[in-house]
Formats: sequence, structure tokens, C-alpha cells
Amino acid sequence: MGRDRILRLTAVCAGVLALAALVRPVGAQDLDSLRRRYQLAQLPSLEVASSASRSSPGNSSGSPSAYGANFGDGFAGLSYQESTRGGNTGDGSVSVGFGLLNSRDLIGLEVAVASLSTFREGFGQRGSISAKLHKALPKNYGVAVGIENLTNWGGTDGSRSVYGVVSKVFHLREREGDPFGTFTMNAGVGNGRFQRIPDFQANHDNINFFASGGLRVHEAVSLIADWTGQDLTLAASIVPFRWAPIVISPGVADVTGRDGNSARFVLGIGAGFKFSSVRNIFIPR
Amino acid sequence: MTKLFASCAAALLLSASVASAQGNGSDITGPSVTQSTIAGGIFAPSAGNVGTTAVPVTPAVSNAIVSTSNSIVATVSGGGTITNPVTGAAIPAAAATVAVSMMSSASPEIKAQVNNALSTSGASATVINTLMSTLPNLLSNPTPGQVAEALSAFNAVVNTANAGFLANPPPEFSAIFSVLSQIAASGNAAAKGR
Repeated sequence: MGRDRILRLTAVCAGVLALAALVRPVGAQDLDSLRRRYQLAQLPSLEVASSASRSSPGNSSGSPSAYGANFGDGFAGLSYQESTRGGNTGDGSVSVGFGLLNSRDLIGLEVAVASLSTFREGFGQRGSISAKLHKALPKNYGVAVGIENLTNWGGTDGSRSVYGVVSKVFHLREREGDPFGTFTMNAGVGNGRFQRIPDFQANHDNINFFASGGLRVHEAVSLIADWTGQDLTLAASIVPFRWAPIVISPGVADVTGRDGNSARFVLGIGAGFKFSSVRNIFIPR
Repeated sequence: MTKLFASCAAALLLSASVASAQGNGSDITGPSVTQSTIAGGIFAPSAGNVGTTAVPVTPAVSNAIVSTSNSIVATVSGGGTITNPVTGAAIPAAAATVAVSMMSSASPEIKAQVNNALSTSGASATVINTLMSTLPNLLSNPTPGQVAEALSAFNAVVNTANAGFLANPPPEFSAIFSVLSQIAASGNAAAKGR
């Protein structure tokens, strides 16, 4: 009898304990456990990519932009002309550049080193160094001042040009990758190569305006109209690969044929990147 | 800061002398190589996430994500079943369809249904809205970095959801979790070469 009572008492206690376990409120430890179970593993390659680069089609062809490279950023590019203005033969230049400081925290300084007329004269025979101070402002505004061909070797027929430019990105859609997602505008004034063609050719030192706009019609494509101060360039800018930040920008320069010049095919190819992650961009794992 | 910028700008301007001799200007009549515009708009500000919008580095990861996305859509469209990876329970077909729709065309009605389901989680409206904004087109036409953003946004909801919600989640949440976990698993497997 006593044994039965003990067994019944044990069964009752076990039942009470089980019931208590069922109705016990979820504690902090259980909440942490639940959250851990629902956590999703981030994609490691994408995390690397987010700090490596982001591709975006361009918004100007010949005119400056107020946005530029910051510390750790780099870029390289190639510019080709089917024929030079008023000439019969093609030419092209290449350049590399990097950023110093940071335009969001203080000021960014972008430096570009170009090998000019490389297609005609060979790499490094003539070249120049250009610099741009740029500052990122709220609401996607940017402002910059710069000097093209600050110094050169071997001479340049492009002159030293000082400019100031304001840029703004207008977001037209909730997601900028959507069709017609953004419009970017650059407008400024400068001397040197930004002058009207007759002033430039007469070696004057006047000031003239320039402006460009890029409409991102597709995540990977933008259409560009660029008044360089001398003539109009119409171009497209294309990001052909998702996995690499290469941008290809074919266009037609001197569209209006001012001063008797003919429209010419031009092409820009370039890439921007973080120096710290170049390997991840160009050598996919 | 403004003074510093002005000072540096003045220094640059002062260092520029009168334009040097011009020829036909062939050095400057094509796309500019004197600044980073030759690299496109990569340094222009992005929509609220400057420097964080990602591109898939490896084609393998990108392909794996696309393949898994297509497989999920085909499964759900064909009446197949997806399961909650945590509970192992089959997700009701209606909820699975809602999740796929939310990650595709995302009609206002579907958005409202998902938002209502998530609003019971206890997470803030901001956190929920972030997740809601990353889901449309995820299965049909994802933008670079969207998968990573969606995973982060989902984890943010989980990290602020209450215990009752996670212990007994609404089917819409379970369906979204199921889809995202499959995508994350395939992407991670591809990244590791498996």
C-alpha cells in the first residue's frame, strides 16, 4: 500500500513538473535560442564585395563631376577617339588615379595620372597629373574644384584648365536600380579647355560653362548628354558585368558640329575599385 | 570645414597659371581621363547606402542564387511544398504563394498581408519596412547586393522580434524564412566551392 502511495505521489509530482514546464513563460535564454535558430547566414562573398566595389554607369563623358575618389579608392581608364577634332586619325589616352582623405568626413582629393596621346605616341611619352578637391554634401549634392593638367611632361595640347562644379543625384524611384531610377546632373564653369572653341584656339583665358546629365534608364545603363563647353557629346554608359566594376561608355562627340567640326565616335572604358579588395574583383574566388 | 575647403580650393586655383599653348586639343576632345568619371558613376552617392551596395563577386554565387530562386518559384507554382527549416513543418501553400509573390511583383495587397503578419513580431516599423523594401523582385530580378540586404533586414527583424512571435510565427514569416534560408544556403555553398 505504502509503495502504491509513493508511486502515485511520484506520478503526480512528475505531472505537475511537466505541466509547469509547458506553461513556463519563455525566458531570455529561450528567446536568444529562438533568435539564433532563425538567424540567416550572410553570404561571405557578397560581404566582401560590398566593401570592394559597386558598379554604376556614368553620368558624364568629357565634363567633370563633383564626385570623386576618397582614400582607398582607385580607378583606371582608357579614352579613345575615332578621329581627333578636325583630324583624320584616331587617338587615345590612358590614366590611373587614386583618392586621398574623405569627401564625406572632410574633403576628398582625387589625383589622376594620364598618359596622353598614347595611341599615337606610345605609353608615357607625354602625360599629365590632374587634381580635384571634392566635398560630399547632404541630399546627394557634391561640390568640387579641380585643375586638369596641373603639371605635365612632354607637353599637352589640352591646356591647363581650372574648374568648379556642382553635382546632384536625383533619385526618381524607390530603388535606384529600377528603370529610370536616377538622374545625375553636373554643372560648372572653367577656363582652358572649357572655353568656346575659338577662345581655346586663340589661347585666351576666358571662363565658360559646362554641364552634363546622366539618366539611368536601366540598372546597368545610363544615357548621357554632355555639353563640354565646346560642343555636345551624346553617349551611353554600360556596366556589362555584375561581378566586375568595368564601365564602357561609347558616344558621339561634336554632335552639333560647331566651328565646322564633324561628329566623331568616342569611347571610354574604365573601372573604379577599393585598393584593399582589388583581388576580389578581378580574381573571383 | 567650409573654410578649409575654401582654402584648399584657393590654393589649387592660385597654383594654376595661364593656359599653356594649345594645338588641336586632341588631348581633351574625347572622354576625360583627367578624373574618375572615366570609371562611370562609381563614386557618386548611392541611395542612402553609400559604399554599401554590393555586386556579387563570383559568378558562381550569383548563378547559385538565381538557380535556387527559380527552383523555389517552380516548386511553389507547381503546388509543391516548402518547409520551415527550424520546425520542419510544411508551410501552407497559400502562405508560400504569398511569400513568392512578395519576392516577385509584390502587389499592394500582398505587401499589406505580409506587413500585417510581420507587425505582430514586436519589431519596430522601421525594421519591418526595411525588410519589406528589400523583398520585391528578389526572386525575379534582384539588384546587386539585394540578397545580402534582405538577409540583413530579415535578421534585424528576428533580433527584435518577441519570443511569442518566434515560437509560433505566422505562416507568411515562416514562408519568407524558408525562401531566404534556401537562397542563403545555396549562395554560401557556392562561395565555399561546394
